[in-house]
Amino acid sequence: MFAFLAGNGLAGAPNRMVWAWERAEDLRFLNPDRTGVAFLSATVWLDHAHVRVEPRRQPVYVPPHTYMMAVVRIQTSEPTLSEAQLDTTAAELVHSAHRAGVSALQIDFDARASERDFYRKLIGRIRLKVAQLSITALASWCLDDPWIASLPVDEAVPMLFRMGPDDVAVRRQLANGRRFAVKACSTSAGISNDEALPTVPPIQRLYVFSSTRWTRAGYDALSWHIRSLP
Amino acid sequence: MKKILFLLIIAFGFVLPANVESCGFFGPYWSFVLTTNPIQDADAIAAGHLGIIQASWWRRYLAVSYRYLAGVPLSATERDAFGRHAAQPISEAQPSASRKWLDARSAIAGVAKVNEIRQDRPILNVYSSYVNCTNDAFASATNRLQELVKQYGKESSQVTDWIAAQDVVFSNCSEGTHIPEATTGPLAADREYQIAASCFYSERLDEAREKFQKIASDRQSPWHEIAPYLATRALIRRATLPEKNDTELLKQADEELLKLQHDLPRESLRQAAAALSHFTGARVRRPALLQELSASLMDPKLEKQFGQNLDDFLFAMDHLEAEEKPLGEMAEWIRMMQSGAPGQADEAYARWKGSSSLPWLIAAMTFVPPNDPRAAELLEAAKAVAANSPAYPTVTWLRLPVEREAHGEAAERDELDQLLPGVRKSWPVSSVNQVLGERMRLARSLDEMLRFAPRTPIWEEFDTTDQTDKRQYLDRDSSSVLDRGVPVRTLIEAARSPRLPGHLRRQIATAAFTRALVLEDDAAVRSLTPDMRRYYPGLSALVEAYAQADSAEARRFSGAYLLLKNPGLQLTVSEGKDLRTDTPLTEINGSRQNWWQVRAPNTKTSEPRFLAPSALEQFQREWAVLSKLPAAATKLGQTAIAWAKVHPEDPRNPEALHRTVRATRFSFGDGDNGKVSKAAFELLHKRWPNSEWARQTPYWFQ
Repeated sequence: MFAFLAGNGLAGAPNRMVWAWERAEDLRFLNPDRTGVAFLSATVWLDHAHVRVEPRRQPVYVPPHTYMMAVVRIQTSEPTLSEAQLDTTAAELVHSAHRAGVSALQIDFDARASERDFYRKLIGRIRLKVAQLSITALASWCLDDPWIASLPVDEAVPMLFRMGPDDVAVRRQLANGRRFAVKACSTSAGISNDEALPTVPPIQRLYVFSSTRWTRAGYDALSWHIRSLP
Repeated sequence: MKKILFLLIIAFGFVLPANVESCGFFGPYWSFVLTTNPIQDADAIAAGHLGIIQASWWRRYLAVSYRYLAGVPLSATERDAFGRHAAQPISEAQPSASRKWLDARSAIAGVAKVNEIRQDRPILNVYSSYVNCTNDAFASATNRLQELVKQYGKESSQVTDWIAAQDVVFSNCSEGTHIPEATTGPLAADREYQIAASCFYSERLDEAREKFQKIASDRQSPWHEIAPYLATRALIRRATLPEKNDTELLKQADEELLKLQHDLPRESLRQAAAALSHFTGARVRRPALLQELSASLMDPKLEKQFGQNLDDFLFAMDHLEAEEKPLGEMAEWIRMMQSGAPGQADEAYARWKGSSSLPWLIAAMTFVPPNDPRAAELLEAAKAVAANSPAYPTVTWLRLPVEREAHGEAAERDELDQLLPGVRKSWPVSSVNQVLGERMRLARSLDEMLRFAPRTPIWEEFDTTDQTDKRQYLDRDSSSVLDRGVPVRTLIEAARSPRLPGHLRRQIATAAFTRALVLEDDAAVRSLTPDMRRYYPGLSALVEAYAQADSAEARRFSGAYLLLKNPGLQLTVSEGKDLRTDTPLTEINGSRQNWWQVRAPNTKTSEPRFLAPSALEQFQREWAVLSKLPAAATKLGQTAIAWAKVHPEDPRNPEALHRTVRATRFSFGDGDNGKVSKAAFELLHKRWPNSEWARQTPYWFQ
């Protein structure tokens, strides 16, 4: 239904995006012309039959005119994946997408196989209400298990860190020149400042995660390390 | 050529990794000694199995340790609260009380449908939010609705009017300013309260405070009891929104709360005021608050408040300033343990003398030097601690340096040998590793060292890959001895020691073999050949070719060729599990964990005392080479290029040159990487332009 929206990229987003997770972050040192901020806006917990929404409690300070992307993380614990959970999750996503100053929404949901239908329905439900939609993706979703290929998202960000059991295999494939088969995965990638840098395929936009609070010095050091990347 | 390379890179979107430094990106997923956040032992600590207390632990663990050391174990309720706190320290999610309110109001016919109420209100410009309408507000509204239904009937206009006004109140929770109209009649007081609440939720806080104060003075209002508390809450919000701390207003609020926790007429309200006073107290009177909380956290009668009190205690400790005191026993003990200042010895000793308590015994033993005359007295006290005491592992650990000072290392060694069976049996893994480290430090021989070298790693929680890996690995102490303290022949000995598990023997044999090749120690290479064939059958042909080489030059090339084909041959004996532990030798690692990195000259950190003088001399000779070794790609590539120029007939040449170029991309480089890459590339394409290897080598790397 929304196939025309799949993988066309995010309009107007800078080439570098910094993830700001749930801690107070002062990112006023960033250059807003070159770097945007994807901040954790809320976490939705689907816990058995319950839904719990934890909005962001910590401030994130950014320079004026910074491209802002609201990230909603979805966590599950044996969820029933009911209509009520779908409704509440969709409402939270739309709410985050429409926050003042926000240009795009990113969903961070490591959906299990049994949760994929729910995820598809969720994206279908919100798609027309969200102008720019990004999702994070397990690297395997962009390689050998490309179930997200038909999702109507503007961008899927392969997470090249915290890859768990896939870590060695994914790094090996990327080092050997393998590219992400899914179109939506081809424009961006996510890395962390506390893990070995994988071979990053050609991309337009790099997301960077910090396991500790961002500082200007830390960001500059990281930028030097990844200076050949976007 | 550079221009062409540049264009090729652009055209194909090739990404050349930067020269990533070893200290930048590589974070381990394991620890051997939990020095900061022993979350894997949180349940054990909560149950009083403290192991060796680390002064560097997060304070929540020190607070619980203090409880046990002071002889006040946690109750089941407190353990449960601590467990939840340890697992999710940032915030406990609140269940949706608003849902109960919505269900209650939807049971009334004729009221407008409301699907959801968001309890959070955004703080503009900083992309944050705060809980504006708390669960208590919805619970209170639900109770009041039930009272009104009972009083006036479900279908009465009083009830529907009241709900309509309450809807307006809650419409402010997430945004806007909506105030219900005043009314007359029997529910006029309720409406006044709803108006005040609307002002509160819409951030008209001065107005809200004034209205609550007015309600407080109206003895006829059903809300006059809670109104003073809410007036103070309005003041606190005034002091803290948005993103600020107005100290004067907070002081005023704090004074009001201290009074309210005695004056309010109901116990539940007094408790609420007391809890809220921790919020203000942490900002305006930390020492007094910490005294109060130090006492509260030790009071078993306050078990239900333990979780909240601990949160508040930690918050206040986090914001403590150096000169603030007195703080209460628990807070002062934690502050001293974490101070790290040598001048603490006198105070710690004095406090122990004054109290004879275990917490202060530990503090005194931590800070009084082993050669201090007071140490003997502390040692006697430590020896009197029973083996089943929660303090036993810590005082046992702390008395070791005192005994060493008094009786020498042999006595400490004997002591440790006696202790270790019990330690291994009942102490937490982190503490076991710590004791093994100390025993290893005292080793008199390689064999003795290897007895205590393998340790059980504690995997990080998020690391799902390795949680099931039950193998033992080398901690930094043993790996640095083997990596930067012994010659190849000692490594060979270690690689054949039955003290080590098979995977460690293989790792050490691999490092020894790689070193022997690099050092051109032919005897060592030959000695290790059977081991390498056994561990890596795929290497047999290459090892055979090396053995057949009839000159030093030929052996050098055969060795380089063997290495180029096997990037997993590591020069380093690494600590813990590294990226190469379980991957095939032939696999090139995209994170440049191949062969070796250029070493800084000052990285020689270990000179094991058991090493014989001749072995030490041998190591120093080897180290002189290893510490100045060029980058792997440079060293191996130069050998391959030199050989190919002189022996163009060797069929291995094209592959060796291709692998040289690849090595310049996938290994940590030095200043000559680009030159070697270019030279290998050009030689390959010039001499063997139609080879498969030339086809697979379209670029060279700067």
